[in-house]
Amino acid sequence: MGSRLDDEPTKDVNPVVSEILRRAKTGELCCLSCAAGCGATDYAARICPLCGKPVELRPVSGRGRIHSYSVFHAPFNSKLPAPYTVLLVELEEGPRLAVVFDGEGGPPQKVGDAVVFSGADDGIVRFSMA
Amino acid sequence: MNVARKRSATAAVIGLGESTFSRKSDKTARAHAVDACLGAVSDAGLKVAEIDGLLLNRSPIEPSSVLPLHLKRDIGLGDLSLLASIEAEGSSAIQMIQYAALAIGAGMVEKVLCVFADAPVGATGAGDAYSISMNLIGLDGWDERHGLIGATGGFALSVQRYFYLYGADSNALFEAAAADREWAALNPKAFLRKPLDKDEYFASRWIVEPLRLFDCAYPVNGAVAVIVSSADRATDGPNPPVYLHGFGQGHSGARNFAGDEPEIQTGAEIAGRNLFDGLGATPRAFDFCEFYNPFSITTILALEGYGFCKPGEGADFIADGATRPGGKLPANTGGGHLSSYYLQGMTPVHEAIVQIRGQGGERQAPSTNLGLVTGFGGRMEYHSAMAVSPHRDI
Repeated sequence: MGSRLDDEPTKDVNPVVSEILRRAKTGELCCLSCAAGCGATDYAARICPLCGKPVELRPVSGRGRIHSYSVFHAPFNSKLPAPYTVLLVELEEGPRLAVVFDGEGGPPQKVGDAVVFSGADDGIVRFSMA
Repeated sequence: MNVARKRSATAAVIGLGESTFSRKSDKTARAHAVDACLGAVSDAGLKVAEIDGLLLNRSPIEPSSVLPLHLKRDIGLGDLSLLASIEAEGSSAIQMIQYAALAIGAGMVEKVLCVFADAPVGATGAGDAYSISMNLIGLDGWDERHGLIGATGGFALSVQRYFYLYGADSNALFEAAAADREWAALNPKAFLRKPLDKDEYFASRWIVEPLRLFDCAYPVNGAVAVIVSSADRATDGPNPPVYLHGFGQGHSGARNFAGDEPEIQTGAEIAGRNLFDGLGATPRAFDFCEFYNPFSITTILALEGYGFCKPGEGADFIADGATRPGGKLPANTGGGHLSSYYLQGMTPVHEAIVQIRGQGGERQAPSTNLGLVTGFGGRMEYHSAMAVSPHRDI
């Protein structure tokens, strides 16, 4: 706990995270992708696992499926009142990203369900049912 | 015991020491470590001056000052030929023993003290200590920003994925937790000994859904230390030696990317393969198992990952009684992390030593010719395993 959760990404945030959040706020979700053209990779990659070249941010479609999820019943920060659901979304380009489920009170989510990027107004990337 | 390759152990555990295990925050991890180390020296029938190696392991979420190299002074150790702090999350305890055995085999050192100590339980419990990011996604700060906190959060994702892949549900977790509790009832040093009632389990609060309170480890403040010696000198002391017959590490390269399943491919399959190949053995060679099991799901994943049953069959294996008292593969015989106490990698190591020595009392497994001990940590990706036996030659 004690991490910064400002609305606007700040200099003390990892610069890659900062840039992903800045672009997400404009409606463009990005993933890491090989600069030499091998394609998308996971968000933990710092070089392309196929060719070793640098990775860069590239836009994704924003569509994906729920790979897994969990429901937190205790709050850890003021922006996420409990209960809230964390989705591990598999983007259709391949990478998986932890996001917050935008749709509490609606139909329950299931692994395999199609979901779509729904915004990042408060510095938190959210997905809703497709 | 059925190993294809005859082998003779070159190292053994000859000393076991423990501090008091407590839910009170009245002592530092470092003070607990001193008690455990001196206990291990006494248990081995040694003098402090005979120790020439020291390996330390602190909790990965604590700073190095919690268990510094200066522990050497606290214990009154003299000149050493080996000294290091080992940090590989939950796989560290077995790694310490492995490196001690390798150093002894290489002629570097003769008697190595290996200690783990932690004091996560504060005035308001241990919840705060574990409410940290596991950095599952791999972007600094991302997980906590999105509310994905703690190992419980990570393992909850693992459970949900497991449920989806194999059609299991919370009953599988209950069976795993209840099996451990059956063993704990036979262990006077276990903290939770009352049989786990199904209604009580299902009524327990969510920690991170689908993990309930009784799916999670029971943290204590304390320390455990062991002394590793050459096998040639292992019978000099008052206790039966625990011979070290093989080690295997496995650190998964599975990524959070389409096609990989890091939630269930944890690296156990790699560590198991490395261990079994070295031994010339299959899982059938083992009489009992002590798994690193901080969550109910991890015993299920370990049984499958190490090949005791097929993927998706671990829950039924437990529900059918295989791992319980009287079962064909006793597992977590002290009650494991869920019901005895959580001191990370040393909980299973400690219990394996008790079993091999034949000091398990009511919980003593009927056959202990070869035991599997595991360590498991990180984002479900770091594994270590070792094979232990009361016999030098197998």
